[in-house]
Amino acid sequence: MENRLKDLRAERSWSQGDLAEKLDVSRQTVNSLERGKYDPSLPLAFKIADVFGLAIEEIFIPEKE
Amino acid sequence: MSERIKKAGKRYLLEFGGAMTLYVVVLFASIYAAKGIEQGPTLTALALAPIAPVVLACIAFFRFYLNMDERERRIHADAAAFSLVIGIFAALTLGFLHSFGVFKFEWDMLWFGPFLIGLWGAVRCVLRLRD
Repeated sequence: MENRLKDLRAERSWSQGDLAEKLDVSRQTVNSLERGKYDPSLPLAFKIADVFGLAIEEIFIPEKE
Repeated sequence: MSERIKKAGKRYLLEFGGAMTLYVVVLFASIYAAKGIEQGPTLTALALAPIAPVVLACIAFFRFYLNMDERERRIHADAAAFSLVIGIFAALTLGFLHSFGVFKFEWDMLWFGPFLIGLWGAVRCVLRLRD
């Protein structure tokens, strides 16, 4: 699934480590999320949305069928 | 990496390292003490003694597993499932070859555990590369 995580993180001048700390995940997980290699669970997606102050659908872009 | 995960990782290394050190000590002590002892409860206790530190290592691992983030936990679970399938396949293949007399070898179940653990580790590395 595509997402805007990298751009949103850059806008806030956060490193991957900073975001990992806020989400309570590893930096590698943030990296996988940003590259669209890993789709987060619903609780983690809500946490990401909360950290950025946005709705889930403003961050994650579902794949078109 | 979050501070909580870092702390969990350090604690795991300490606990797992301690359990493995204890395993080596108990293993050699059991082998030494078992020399000349006849069949009976004492020999059974000595034979099973090295299992206790392994249980401690398993507890340390599960504590660490519960503190991983969801992606790392998924990698461990996927790798465990894959290793289980390969392990069953290997056990059945060797079992049939042995039963039919095609391939004669000594059964040594002691190596099956380390084989699965090694396989599990290798699969984890592959899955991490994929992500």
